[in-house]
Amino acid sequence: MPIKIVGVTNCPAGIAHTYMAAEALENEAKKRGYQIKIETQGSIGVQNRLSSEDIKEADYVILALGRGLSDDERARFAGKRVLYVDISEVLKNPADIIENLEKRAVKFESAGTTSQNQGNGSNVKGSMGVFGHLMNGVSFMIPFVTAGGIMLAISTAMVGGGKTTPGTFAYLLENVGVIGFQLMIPILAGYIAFSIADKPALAPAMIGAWLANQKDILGTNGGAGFLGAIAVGLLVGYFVLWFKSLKFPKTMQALMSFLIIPAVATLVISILVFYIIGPAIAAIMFSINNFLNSLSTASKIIVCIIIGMMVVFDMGGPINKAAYLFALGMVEQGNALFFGTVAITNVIPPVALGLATFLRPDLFQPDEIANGKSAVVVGLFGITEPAIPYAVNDPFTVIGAQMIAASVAAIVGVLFGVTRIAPGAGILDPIIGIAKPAIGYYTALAVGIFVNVALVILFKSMKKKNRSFSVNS
Amino acid sequence: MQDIINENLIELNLKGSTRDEIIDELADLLYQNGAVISKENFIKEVKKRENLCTTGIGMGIAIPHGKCSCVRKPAVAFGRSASGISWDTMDGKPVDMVFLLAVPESGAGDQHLQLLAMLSRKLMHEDFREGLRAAKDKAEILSMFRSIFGT
Repeated sequence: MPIKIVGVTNCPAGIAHTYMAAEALENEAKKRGYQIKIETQGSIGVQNRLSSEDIKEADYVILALGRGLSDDERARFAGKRVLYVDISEVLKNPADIIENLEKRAVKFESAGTTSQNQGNGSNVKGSMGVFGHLMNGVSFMIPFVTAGGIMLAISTAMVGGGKTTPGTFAYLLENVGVIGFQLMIPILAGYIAFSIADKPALAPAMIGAWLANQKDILGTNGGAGFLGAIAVGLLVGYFVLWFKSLKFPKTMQALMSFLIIPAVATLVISILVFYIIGPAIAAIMFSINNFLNSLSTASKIIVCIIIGMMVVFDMGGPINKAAYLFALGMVEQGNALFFGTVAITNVIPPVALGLATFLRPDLFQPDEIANGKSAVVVGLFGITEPAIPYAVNDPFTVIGAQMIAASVAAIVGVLFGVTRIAPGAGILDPIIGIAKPAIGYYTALAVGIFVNVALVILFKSMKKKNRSFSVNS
Repeated sequence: MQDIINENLIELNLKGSTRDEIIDELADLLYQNGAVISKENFIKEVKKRENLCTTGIGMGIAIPHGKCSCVRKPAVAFGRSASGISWDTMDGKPVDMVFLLAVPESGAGDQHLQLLAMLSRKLMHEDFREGLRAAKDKAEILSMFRSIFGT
């Protein structure tokens, strides 16, 4: 077995030294018959990225740095024998570095990873990596959610919850808001993929996610929503990463990022979305509808609890849509109770999460805190989308808390007999007379929000505590 | 490739003998060629980078570079000196070949940055360096650049 070396090079400008050092190390290693792979972090972006497989198999790691490495990136090399050098040292004497690896490379232990639980440690790292990519997507998505949500909320307030008239200013704001929300889906997918595999992954993921959200093209009753966007982003990201790792002649490489990878990845993801994700959405929505219909003899409280949980589960995705359409259909049959549950529960998540960022900013990311103010206001008008960034960043905690809160609110709603007879606009519903009784609606909403805020804070604090324990141990 | 380097961006007999004189001389070529809009601003950036850490990487080569909004398009100016240039180099030896790279602040196509990266890599190969030293005229040097850029 030849000695295997991996490494990273970077420099302040990212123009010349990064590549010279990579080439020098590769030359010296190959002269000696060693296997080597060097990741270059230059102004073109990260190229030749080291996979966890590469790192696992490597005997030595060389970090030749001119502008440092973030803790996250460093953590990739936990447990390996690592040599840190200044990039200029590599250029001065690459042979020396390769020859003395045995002597100079030191075992690198990252915080919280001891040698006994290395197996576990690397698993946790893997999943942290995925969440890192999701967080990158969220940070690009938030401005779209905020801008779109505020426009929509102003428009709703201007017309008092009714329909906007084409040609009016409220109509303009409403449509601008909708555009913001439509763009938010591809932006989320695109920047998840970008975080994994850089620029070539951006276009395929954005196109794929847009397609996955077009119910008319897919021939379904609903789009894939934000969960679909996450799926597309991760699929495209890891596909492109793998595609980049294939060996192609160096002269073809400029063509790769701009032509071949985007075209191939777009084709692949479109086929996946159209022939697999689309029919899957249709099947899910169909079976949910059947399921809810079969419950029609069950107690109304049970059905309302299930509908409430579905509404907040994927916020605009297929499950939410299926519950919404079922409840709306029941209104036509003279039963507006289920739609009353929808009216209450879709207001809860954004308002609760926004309030939670005021109460406990230490539990949230800076961009989540910034989004919090508008989430409360926008959410009160029955617009759920501002809650999505929180759910992407911390899905189990956030979605779990709001599902419990929604079922509690649904119970309170049924006890008061809250109904709604038409699609509405959040807290304006009782005022414009489509949701009744007002006291029941507001009570159920207040209870739901209170429970949701309390649970999000509780779950997040527990998670934080757990994390700090495992680091200390 | 003509975007990045052409005959007018090559100087076979650099006149200067110090680092600053040579940077000035090659920056002038970039300016005359329309690659940079402001020679003064560009030189300021290059020197700032140079003072951070020398680009005299040894083996007789220096590869000063500047990233600046005053650069219109990515380009490289190449110069050879018969007498040697005093430069604070990593191996302490004088420089006889200088590549001055100009990179725009933003909007630089990745293809162009990719070409500069390939050039940087190629400089680590002795046969390439010796080829540039032995080249008799600009056409021969251009054809060597062409061989790495694959055009």
